Amino acid sequence: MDAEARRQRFRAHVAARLRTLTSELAPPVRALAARPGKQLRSTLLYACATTGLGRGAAPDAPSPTGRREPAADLGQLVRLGALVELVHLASLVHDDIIDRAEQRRAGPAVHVGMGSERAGLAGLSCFALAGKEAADLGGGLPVLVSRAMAGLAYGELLDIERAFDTTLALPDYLELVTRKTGELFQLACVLGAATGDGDQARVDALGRFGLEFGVAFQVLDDCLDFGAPDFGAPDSGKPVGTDHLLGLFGAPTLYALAQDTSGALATLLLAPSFTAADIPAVRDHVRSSGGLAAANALARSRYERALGHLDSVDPQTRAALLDVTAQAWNLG
Amino acid sequence: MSGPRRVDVIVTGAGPAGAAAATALAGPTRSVLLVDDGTPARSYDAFLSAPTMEGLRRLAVDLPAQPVDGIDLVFGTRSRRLVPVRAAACDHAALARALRGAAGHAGADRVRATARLLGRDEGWFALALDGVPVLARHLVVATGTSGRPGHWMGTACVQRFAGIDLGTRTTLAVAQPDGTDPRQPPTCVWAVPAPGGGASVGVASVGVAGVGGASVGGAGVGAAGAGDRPVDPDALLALALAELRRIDARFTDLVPAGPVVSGPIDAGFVPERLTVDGLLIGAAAGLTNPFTGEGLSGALQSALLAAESITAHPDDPDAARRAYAQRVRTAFVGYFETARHASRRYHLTWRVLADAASSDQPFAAKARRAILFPEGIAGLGEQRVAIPDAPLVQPFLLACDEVAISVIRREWPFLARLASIEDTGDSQRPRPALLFLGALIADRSTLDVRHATTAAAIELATLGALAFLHPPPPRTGVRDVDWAAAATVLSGDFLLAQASRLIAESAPDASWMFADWLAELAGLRAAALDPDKPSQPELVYAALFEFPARIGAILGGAPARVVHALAEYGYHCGRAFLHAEDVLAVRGERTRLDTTLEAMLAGRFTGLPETLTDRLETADREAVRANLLSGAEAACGEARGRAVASLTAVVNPTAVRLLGQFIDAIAAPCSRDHPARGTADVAGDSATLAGPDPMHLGGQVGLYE
Repeated sequence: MDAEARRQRFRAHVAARLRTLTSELAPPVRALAARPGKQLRSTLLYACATTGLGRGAAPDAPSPTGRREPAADLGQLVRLGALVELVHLASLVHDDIIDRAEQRRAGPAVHVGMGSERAGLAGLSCFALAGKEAADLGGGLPVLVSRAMAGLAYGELLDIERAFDTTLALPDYLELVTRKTGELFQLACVLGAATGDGDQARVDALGRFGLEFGVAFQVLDDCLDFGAPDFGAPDSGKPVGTDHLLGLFGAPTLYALAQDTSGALATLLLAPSFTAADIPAVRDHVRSSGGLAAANALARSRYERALGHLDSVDPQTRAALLDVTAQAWNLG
Repeated sequence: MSGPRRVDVIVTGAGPAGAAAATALAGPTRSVLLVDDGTPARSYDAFLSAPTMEGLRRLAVDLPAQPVDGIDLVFGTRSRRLVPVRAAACDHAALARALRGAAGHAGADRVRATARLLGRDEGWFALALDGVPVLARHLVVATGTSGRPGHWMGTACVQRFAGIDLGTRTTLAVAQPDGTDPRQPPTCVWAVPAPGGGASVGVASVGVAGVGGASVGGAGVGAAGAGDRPVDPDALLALALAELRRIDARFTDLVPAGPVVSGPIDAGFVPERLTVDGLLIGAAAGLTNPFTGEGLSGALQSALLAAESITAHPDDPDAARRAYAQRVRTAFVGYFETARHASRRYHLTWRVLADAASSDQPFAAKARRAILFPEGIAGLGEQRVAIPDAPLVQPFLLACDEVAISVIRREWPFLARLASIEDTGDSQRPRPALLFLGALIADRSTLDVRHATTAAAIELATLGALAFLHPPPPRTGVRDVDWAAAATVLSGDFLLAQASRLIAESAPDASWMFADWLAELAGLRAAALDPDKPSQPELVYAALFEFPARIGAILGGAPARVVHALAEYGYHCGRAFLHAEDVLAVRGERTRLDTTLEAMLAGRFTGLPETLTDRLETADREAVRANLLSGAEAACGEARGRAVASLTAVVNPTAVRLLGQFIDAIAAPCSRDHPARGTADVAGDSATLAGPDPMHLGGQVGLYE
């Protein structure tokens, strides 16, 4: 099965789950799910599910398509992938209420049509669907999924409480990114890897890879928020630079602020009169002071670290994951 | 002679905390030295919160106090509201004198000396009192703010004025911090009525030592320095007066009637800090509210907890220390337990409070109360549930609270304030853990303490669900984050995720039912919000209460018939709860969800018929109100009756008593002869209160007494 067909199956399964949503909440959530984005998390899960195969004397037989297929049956993987996408979907619905984003994935955010009170309930319904699916799948899933969701929620708190902090230290920034983005990537990789041959060390290694790659991905996303022409649009599909209006500064801006001994950038960002019209000036400052370059270097180094965790993984899984990450990096 | 004098307990410091501890500890069989360094008690009007009053009542200390029934709460220029409280005001020096008198009366020996701890000697504390060695089995440290750097420090100043009559209200003004500076120290101004006229005006400003202390000019009274920087008390007071005058013209003609009293405050409570050398209580433990500077509540509560711990282990100071540490960990959550995030978290909370200040929606109202006021969120009602079979039940509830608080306090202490339960005595206010517990033992007489974790999950989940069921309305037209809406969503997600995790770990078989419960709540609430459908908010609360009862019965291994009966019981408890809310709201009293009739109508969570509420603004208002009241009371009584009837299936008499009292407490406001605000003693002969016999129903007066 090719990648696009697989993504379609993940989407179809998410859509099937969403069918049980109550009629008051369903339409905007379904509309968002129908604009699926890169489906990076479920794709990572699938790639990790191939781990351990191809090792030893008797590699699995090539499938009719000539590609390696994972050990777990596809139906099981589709359910796991849909579960991860469902958690992600729920967090997007709530995330957009929190930072009052109007747009998500090139369409209206869920709360825009239905109001934040109903959108809160819609996100809650998605979390509940994920919880039921995790319980149905059994084993350690309810614990793993609820831990990741707690990490995600804590990451959101760290994200919001830093508002207007122009001196946020790098370790604090990385903690927030790790919780907010890394944990769900880690969950996807662990769930995929755990369907393999049961080698716990490899499951852990892939989990660490996921966590680190999630961090790298988020830092990169911060860079994309600068609309860098060499990178393309940010994953969020949000208008560029709007987080600055909320007082939420990403890695490039934080680097630039740390460099800025004159205090001019902080003064600009904290000015009560700051509007969207000031964003280009911020962007110029952050670029010219090397903030964007420094953040890019950070993303790159975390990316390298993520790949370092794949050293113990078999070459084919490694290759499959490199494929996924390169696409995410817009290099593929 | 045989060496130095030996006593059972030495209490150092004779302020309210120390004198209260000495009062509670002294007695014919226990020698207590109350060491006082001679600092005179200072005179100003102090605010006595509900927990403070409760502490004084338990110590049988009687003193002339002026009742306070409301706090005029002002957030900068953004909002102003009246928060109902049951509190009082009295002269601080008179309070200290009364407590010292009570200590002496109880048999404590008061010694005027400077105490110095020399060390531990074979299980005894060796102290020098003005150089004279004394040995004590137990040491209680109540020496006030230590002034140690690195904690959350600040300054408080207060002065008494004549020329104003505040009646039965205090004013609490929270200065608006400059929204764009995350490090600006917030400032709080208060005015407390003096018995017999006049008022004391005070101001508190807290910052983190070493980080805060930035002086920022601008709006409000935010110019006060905090942190480790010395502050000019007169300048701070002048700013406080200016702020009060801005709010209320009555503060224009104040005449000083007492000296300026000022001192450091320490809000840096963390549990680990408490039991290093003796038991630290009150300000010495950092139990001061950083938002309001209020410290009496923590002083009295911690004094009583220390006394209880020592009384339980008179010959074993280490056991007393462990007991105190455990009690304190569940009773108090520090405001700054996450040192690394403290400054940012503080300001986030500040913004949330200010944004949510104008909202009467339950989650915002509960959060405001939990953070600003020491009285906590009052569970689901004022009437208490006496705990039957205390040796079985109390350790379970203590374990439940410890789990609930410990899973969130590290990451989110401000939120943990919401979950902290300050009453762990022999009676409790109704809360979901009691419902779960009663169902758990419905068909058995033993308790598996593992299920305390499940009970904690249910407590956290109920709180989390409340965030989504009743969020504050969105704020519009501003640049930055909608702090109240954002914090509500974040809190809800965090609490529900932690609750799911606890369920998955403690009762994995319940994971699906738990998730299904959340889905059901979301669906029912969404349906209730739909203006095109008949609003059925009853169902939301029925579902909220049904799950704890059902899951308790299932985990307790009850047969299907009993599980069904308990689900039924929980369902009707939820209905009774909503109708009792309606009754309180129509009467204009404080509801259990801290909300108002207006907010309930706006938020569509009332069981009152729209055909009648639409006519509340018409001429026959009183008749409509009477109609609404009798309807809600009847509905509540009917729901209560059906809940009690379903208890016939329950075997264990302890469960019957607990659940019988639970529904009685929930339905208490619905009897005209039983005002919800009363302090009815429910600890009487509870077996006759709610026996399994459905013939006891029908709302006869006697049932509620």
